[in-house]
Amino acid sequence: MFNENQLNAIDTVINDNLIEAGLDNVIFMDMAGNAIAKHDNGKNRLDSIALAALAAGNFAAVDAMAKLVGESEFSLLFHKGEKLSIHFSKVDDETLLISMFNKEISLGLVRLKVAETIKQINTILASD
Amino acid sequence: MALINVKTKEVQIKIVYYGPGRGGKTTNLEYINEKYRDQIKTEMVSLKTQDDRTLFFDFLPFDVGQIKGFDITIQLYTVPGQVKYNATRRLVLRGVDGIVFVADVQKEQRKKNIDSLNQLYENLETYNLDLFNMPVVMQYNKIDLKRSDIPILSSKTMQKDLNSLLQAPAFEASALKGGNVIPTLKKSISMTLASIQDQLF
Amino acid sequence: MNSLAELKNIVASLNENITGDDITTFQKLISQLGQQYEGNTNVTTFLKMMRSLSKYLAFKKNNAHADSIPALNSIVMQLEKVINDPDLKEDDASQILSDEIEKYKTLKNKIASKPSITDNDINDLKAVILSVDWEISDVTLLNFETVTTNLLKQFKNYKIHYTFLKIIHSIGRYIGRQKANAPTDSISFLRSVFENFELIILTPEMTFKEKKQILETDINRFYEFKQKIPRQKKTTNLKDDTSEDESFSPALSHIKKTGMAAADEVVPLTTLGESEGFPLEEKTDSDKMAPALADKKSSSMGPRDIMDDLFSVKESPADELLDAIHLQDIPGQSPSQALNMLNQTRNIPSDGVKNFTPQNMDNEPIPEIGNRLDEFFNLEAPEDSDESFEESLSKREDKNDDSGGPLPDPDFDILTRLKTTIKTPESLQDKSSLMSINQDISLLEKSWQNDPEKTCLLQIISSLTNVLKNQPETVLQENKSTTNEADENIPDTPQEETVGVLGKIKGMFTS
Repeated sequence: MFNENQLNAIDTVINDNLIEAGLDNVIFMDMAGNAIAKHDNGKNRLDSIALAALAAGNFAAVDAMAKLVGESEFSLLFHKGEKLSIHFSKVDDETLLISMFNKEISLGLVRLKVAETIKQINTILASD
Repeated sequence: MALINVKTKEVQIKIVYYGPGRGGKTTNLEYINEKYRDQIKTEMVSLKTQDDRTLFFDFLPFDVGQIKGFDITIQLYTVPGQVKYNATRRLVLRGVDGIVFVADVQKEQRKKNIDSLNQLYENLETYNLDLFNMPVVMQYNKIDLKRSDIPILSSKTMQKDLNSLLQAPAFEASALKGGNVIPTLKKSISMTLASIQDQLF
Repeated sequence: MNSLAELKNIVASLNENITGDDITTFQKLISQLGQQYEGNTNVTTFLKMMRSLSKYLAFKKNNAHADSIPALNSIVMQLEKVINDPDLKEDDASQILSDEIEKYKTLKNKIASKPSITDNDINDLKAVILSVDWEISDVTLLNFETVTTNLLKQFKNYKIHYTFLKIIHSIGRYIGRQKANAPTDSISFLRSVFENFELIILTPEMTFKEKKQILETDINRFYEFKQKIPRQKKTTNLKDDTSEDESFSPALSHIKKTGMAAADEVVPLTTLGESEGFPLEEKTDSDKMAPALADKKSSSMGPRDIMDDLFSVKESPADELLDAIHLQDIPGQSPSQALNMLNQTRNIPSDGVKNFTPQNMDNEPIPEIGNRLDEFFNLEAPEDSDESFEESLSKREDKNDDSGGPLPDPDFDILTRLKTTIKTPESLQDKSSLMSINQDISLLEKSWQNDPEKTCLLQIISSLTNVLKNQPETVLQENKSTTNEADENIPDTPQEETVGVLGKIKGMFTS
């Protein structure tokens, strides 16, 4: 559950850390497939509703696979595309951060920036 | 879980069409999608197998407009009905707000209907949800078969098998032809919204 | 002599494999020979070359230039000749030495012009760069540092290669320092410099000039990159002020657990189809199957006759009448609850985003929900059977006025009263009735003052009432007799219009 202050803070953190750094799209969503906050660089249109639903299903399926093979979770869920790649990261047990980026940015850098963003989001969520 | 964003004044509710395999869940959504193509601006997502069985889920989101200043988005999902997909069914049920149970009136499906509903109860338990506390609508689908040679169960039997304890509103339906598909949906949306309206309106 | 024999042995061993120990021993032996032949310039020169070569081999070991060991072999052989042949003239010895010096110089040139870099080196560098591409962590950065430092040592004397490696090394170090704050193009720049480096290695025929050009481009890009390094501090707008946060109740704390359905609660079944009734109950439907959820809920309810409260979507007026009779038996929700829901003026929470699981099953949906759904789903053509279902439903509700309706409400009572009064033909002439009509209208106007549509309709009713009131009595009575017959032909008689209007108000209010 979030209040408006938290939402605003989360928006800022995502924008400053990720969109400003050159990522194409970022969606902060819950595990049921609802998008809580959506950000993009204005350059490409995205059916974020369908994406969030599929992302939730994808993440949930992969998570189930992890448990099946004896892992508590997989630390990297990343889909590499020719032009665009998608990176998934768990924020907390109920929310996910989905980041989409093009060839100009390396995965390593995205992972670092996402990790930092998540840390800040968790601070925001804990602050209430 | 219904999501209410007071900042953007949006409400999102999730309704899952559940039931045994080949019962008509996907057909329900396909009918809705077809009939209201103009009002439903988003594409329906169907994750299917090659022989047209739902693999993961069908997903159809649409906005019904505003109620008391809130934009209401309905997210319809179907689950794969085949027995082997129970793990996936459980995933799709996550965060569900309302359920439409699509039962198949064919006689040979009688046990499958019952098993499916029982399993639904168990699947919800994994999320600490109680089926008896949820907005549920029953749909007895393929009623059009009564004009054919295929033996079907009476609505009385269906009610007894599936609804005697649940006491949910029930609709006979023919999803293929669209009969009572929309009333089922309206009832489900109405009940689901009613179940959260105290927090909203 | 011993030293020389040992030297030969060591060289033989070096031919097989260049080890650090062998080189050390080799160098010792060279020193010994040096002391032994201190005055002999030829031998000293030989030994100098060998010493140089040994240092080179010590560094390169098995990565040494392919010609180094043959050169060493040759030098040792000639040295042996010079030392061991007593008849060798000074000139011949000098000649042999010169030859060997030539060979040595040739080898030196070869080593200098073609730095020996193996595939392994290139792959190692590629691997650490890719690993940093995928993950910037202490491990990947350490590996990167190790490999690049090693290569820098290797290429200390080769300016072009060294410069490439220096750039790569610098960028890597910078990324390691900045981590998440590194510019987004840092890795792609790193990759491209590496690709250029790889290119000049794999193209040995490339001229010195060409190599220099490529390098200069990268140097310029490197300087540009350095200048682009952002200097501003990042500021985050985390709002630390939590004192403004409104308190909100934890999730689910307000959701009542619904009890079991009351024993006499109705389970409506909406049927489908043109024909009345249902297929004959299958005699073969066995009762052996346990109903679903039988073990899930201990129910105190007795078995119900589920067919009791059927109402069907039919197409004939007779069916509607039948349904109306059915529906009269349906008890509505508790009136007080419905009233509370309608009258509550709960504020929309001004919090952010809420998630919760709907569990309140006792609520009757507020009218706005039904209205919105009707509007949304009834935009299609009228042949949609769903619409007819809706119409029949609203008609049934109209007929249920007198039996109390689903949503009793003071406004509703006034409306009903008004309708009844207006319906009566003499009411418009009777002063007390007129007063009652006007009173009711103003009561409703007050109640619905925030609803412009409803107030407008009330005003229409009021005006019509006034118009009709002012009609002369006889005319009205005459008109009445004709209007009764002409009802079908004149669809917009005031009476019907009033009823229609009231019906519409009712519809808005109750659907």
